[in-house]
Amino acid sequence: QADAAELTTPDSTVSVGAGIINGGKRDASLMGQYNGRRNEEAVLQLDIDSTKRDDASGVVMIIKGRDLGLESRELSFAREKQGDWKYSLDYYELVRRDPRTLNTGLTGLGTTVNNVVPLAAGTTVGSVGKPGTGADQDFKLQRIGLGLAGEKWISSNLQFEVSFKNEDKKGDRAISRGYDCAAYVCGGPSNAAITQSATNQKYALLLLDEPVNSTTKQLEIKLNYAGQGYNLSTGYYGSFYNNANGSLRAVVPNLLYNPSGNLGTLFPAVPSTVIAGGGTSLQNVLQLPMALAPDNEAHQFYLSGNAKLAPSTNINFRYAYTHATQTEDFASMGLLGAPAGVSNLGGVVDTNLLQIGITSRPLPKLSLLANVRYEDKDDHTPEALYNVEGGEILPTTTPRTYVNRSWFNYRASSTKLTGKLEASYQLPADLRGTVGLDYTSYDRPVPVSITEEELAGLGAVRAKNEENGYRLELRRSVSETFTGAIGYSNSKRTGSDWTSLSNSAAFVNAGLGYGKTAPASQFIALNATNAFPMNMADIDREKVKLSANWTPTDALEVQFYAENGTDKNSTAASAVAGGKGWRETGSSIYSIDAQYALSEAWKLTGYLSQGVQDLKVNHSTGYLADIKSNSDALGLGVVGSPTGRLEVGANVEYLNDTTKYGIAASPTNTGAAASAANLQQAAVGLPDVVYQTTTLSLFAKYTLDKKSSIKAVLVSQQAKLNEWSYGYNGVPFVYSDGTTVSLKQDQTTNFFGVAYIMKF
Amino acid sequence: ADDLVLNGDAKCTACHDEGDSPEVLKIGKTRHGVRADARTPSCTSCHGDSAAHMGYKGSAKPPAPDRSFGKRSLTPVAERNEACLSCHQKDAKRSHWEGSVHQARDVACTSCHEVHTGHDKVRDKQTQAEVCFACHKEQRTQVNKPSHHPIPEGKMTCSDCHNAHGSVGPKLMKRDSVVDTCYTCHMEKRGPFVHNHEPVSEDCSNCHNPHGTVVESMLKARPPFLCHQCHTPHGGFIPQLAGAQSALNTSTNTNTTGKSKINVTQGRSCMNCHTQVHGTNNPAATNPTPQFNFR
Repeated sequence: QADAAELTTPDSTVSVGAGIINGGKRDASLMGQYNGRRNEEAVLQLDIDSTKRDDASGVVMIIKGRDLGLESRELSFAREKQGDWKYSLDYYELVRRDPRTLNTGLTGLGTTVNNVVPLAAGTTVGSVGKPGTGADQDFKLQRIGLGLAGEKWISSNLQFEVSFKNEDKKGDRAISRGYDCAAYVCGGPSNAAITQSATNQKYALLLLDEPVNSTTKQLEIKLNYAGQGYNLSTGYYGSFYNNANGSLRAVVPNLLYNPSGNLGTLFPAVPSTVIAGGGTSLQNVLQLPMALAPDNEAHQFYLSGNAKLAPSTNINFRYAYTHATQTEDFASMGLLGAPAGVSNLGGVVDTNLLQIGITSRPLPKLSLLANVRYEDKDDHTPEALYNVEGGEILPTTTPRTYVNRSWFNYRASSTKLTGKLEASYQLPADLRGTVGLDYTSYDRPVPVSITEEELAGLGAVRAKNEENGYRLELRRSVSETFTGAIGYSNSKRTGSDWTSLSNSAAFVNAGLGYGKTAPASQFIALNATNAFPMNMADIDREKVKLSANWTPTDALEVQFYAENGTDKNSTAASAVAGGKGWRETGSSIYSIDAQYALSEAWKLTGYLSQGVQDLKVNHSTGYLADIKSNSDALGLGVVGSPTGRLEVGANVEYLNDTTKYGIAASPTNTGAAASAANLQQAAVGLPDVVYQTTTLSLFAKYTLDKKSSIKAVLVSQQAKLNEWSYGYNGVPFVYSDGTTVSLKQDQTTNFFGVAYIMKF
Repeated sequence: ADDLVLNGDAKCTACHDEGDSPEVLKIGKTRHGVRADARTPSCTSCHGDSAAHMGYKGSAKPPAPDRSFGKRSLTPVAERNEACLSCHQKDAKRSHWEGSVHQARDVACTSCHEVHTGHDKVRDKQTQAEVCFACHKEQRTQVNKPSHHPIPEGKMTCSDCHNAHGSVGPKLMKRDSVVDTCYTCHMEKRGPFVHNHEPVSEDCSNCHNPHGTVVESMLKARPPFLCHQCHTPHGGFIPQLAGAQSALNTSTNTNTTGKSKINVTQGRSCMNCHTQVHGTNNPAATNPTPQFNFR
């Protein structure tokens, strides 16, 4: 017979032990990103979970420490008198280790000035590169957090809450730097078109180290009032970001690798005869400072709550006003060249949010729900002429001539309105039917004139999107042991006419120059390969869901879930050239779970799931991509107690994710066959990306006596990532200074730990 | 008889004592078992007076209590939840439970919470996700992909981003929107910047799947395919890899520009040059413009 006091007293345990990680850091780089088990070493296992309660006063003290012997440790302390007051303190460290290793000649790592040192056998033009001869660098990011919180019931209805959290983030992160000479920036003394050559570099790509040293602070102060049939909360939430590093600069030699692996000289600046004021050499472009994230802050004031309007009718609501600013001084960030008289962006974004929701049950069998949410984000940031680009003077001359053009910064205002109506009715035969209607609209600024602002790399943009949809669902409790549901949803996103971003002669002559609006079909008529951004395009969405839960006995439970959905781009497209940009996304998942209790002492669990994600993207002039990912997952587990003192468990999890990159060459604008070169390369295609993991976990816990036990854990993990970001088939992707990036493809890591657990 | 665990529980624990039902007594380890707090319940507060159950004298299985909460419970979900909400509706964090997806889909509080245990799985960061995965199957697979938030490692959990009890944001986001939720940890992305990238301030999930992907940075697709869903430039090529080219590299015939072929397929792809895609605060009004390169 159990001891009543032991059953009703909060548990307190401390666990002390040691663990051994087997497999080097290259073998644990995938599975050891966050768990503190990246290196081959012995580690201290120390955990504490203590809850002490004074039954007379009701004061509870909780101390929790987890993974205290590892680099990702957590420790918290809380003391409270339930229903009266509480205060707490949390501390944590979280380390994320980049699974990839850089081999580089970079120096100045961890600082805001990286020195690029080519890995070359020699320092003159034509010297042969030596990738792989640099130093191995394993980057990591560490977060250290400290949280303080308190609450007090001032009266039986009024509660005061305050919380503060500070998080420091430090470490290194890989960041790129690259440039391909534009004719109006670098190229040579004349402005004739330039090409890559054996001796001259037209472009360069570098991989640098972004030093991370930032702090986030969050403060929330809240008053909660619980009245008779209503609740109100009002508060302030402030969030502050501070970055000790304002910019990153690379010191780059004038000799870098060309594609043949030999050192070549970087192209010089174009003279002022080509562009007003002259250009900048490729070396100098690469040395220009890169802006890191600026300090910013936001202050939110809010009122939210709910109320019972009638016995079966409730309302909830929230109003929030947020004032966000970004005013870090450019010079302090190490950034020069701001427009005259502008020392910082003066960024101000004010956001008003209003939400109201009503639920009601007017009839015992009928439930109704209505919800509306309105968010208006108003970017008040002042305008200045930040942007510049060389614009070619037309008609074209030989050599071509350019002039600098300037325009204003783009302000990211938006208005979003969402609404939902839902009715649910209890039908005969234990059926419950639900019908829902959904509405969303999103408004964003679009350029009116190219002299004000210019957006690049887009076919057209749209000031407004609207989406209307409906949902149907039937749920049925077939019996006490079987329940099931089937759901179908359908929605269509459309929007306003599209705004032109083209100033080509064809568009201007058709009255569709920059800033002018028209339906998509007119854009397609002028340019068969015009692409429309996926977050603005017309969409037809459809989804079917099916779920069932079968519990034939207390011992057995089986769950089945299936889902299939597609989002299709329904924007006008050329019948000849086909649609460009995002075309379609599809997803499906089939999953079965089961739990079976063999006896009171033994329990089995298992699941099998299969999912498919499909994405179709057509590039405007080059390729058609059909990217399909298949994810198969399996989990099997058993836990049991062969004797009164011994508990054992085993768990196996398997994941196989294969992505196939279907690449075809696209037809031309007129529908003619793709070029021979593109067809030839499409036949080579892109190889599959495969990710597989198998994790075996075993544990055994033996109870020595009422106060102590021993627990042993063995975790064996195998991971395989076969992909081609930084190399394929033994051919590395080499940066212009010889830097390469690697990741061991097949990895195995084991952890064995034993701990003594004591109750106190 | 004396109360064993809760104030006024004797009418139940006279039978359901440590010999009969030791598991139910573990409610004493929880906040419900803090008897010095006058607000804490008794057994009948949740299970009802259960007169038929109490008064049964036969030898067969007695009728169930008025309200039961197990997997095969016949008590309507709304009635089960009312047992919890009669007290917990005062909690400001649950102000938007009514009308939330979980409420409207008949999710019971006890579908996720275990009341008679000192260790409620869903309130522990290391075990919460497995409770959520009981319904959210797709996410169970996604968190095990190589680019993920540290959920399988127990360093983050679902409730760090979602409020399962209802919220103002979409997808039960903890704060008022997707971006506001992401900014709590990734505040450097908030800006505003000299050069903003509109989809970033609209919704992080335009490009990221926060539950995990095989692509670095939890991107929903590998660039350039991700970027080419919106952007058109640098055309006329098929993505290709060093060592897998139909026309082999020579000094000049393949990588004639830095923005085609392997340079937009490998390395950091489009981000080899367009580095600060979340926005940049570089004010330089000199060529090459920081706007397009996001540097």
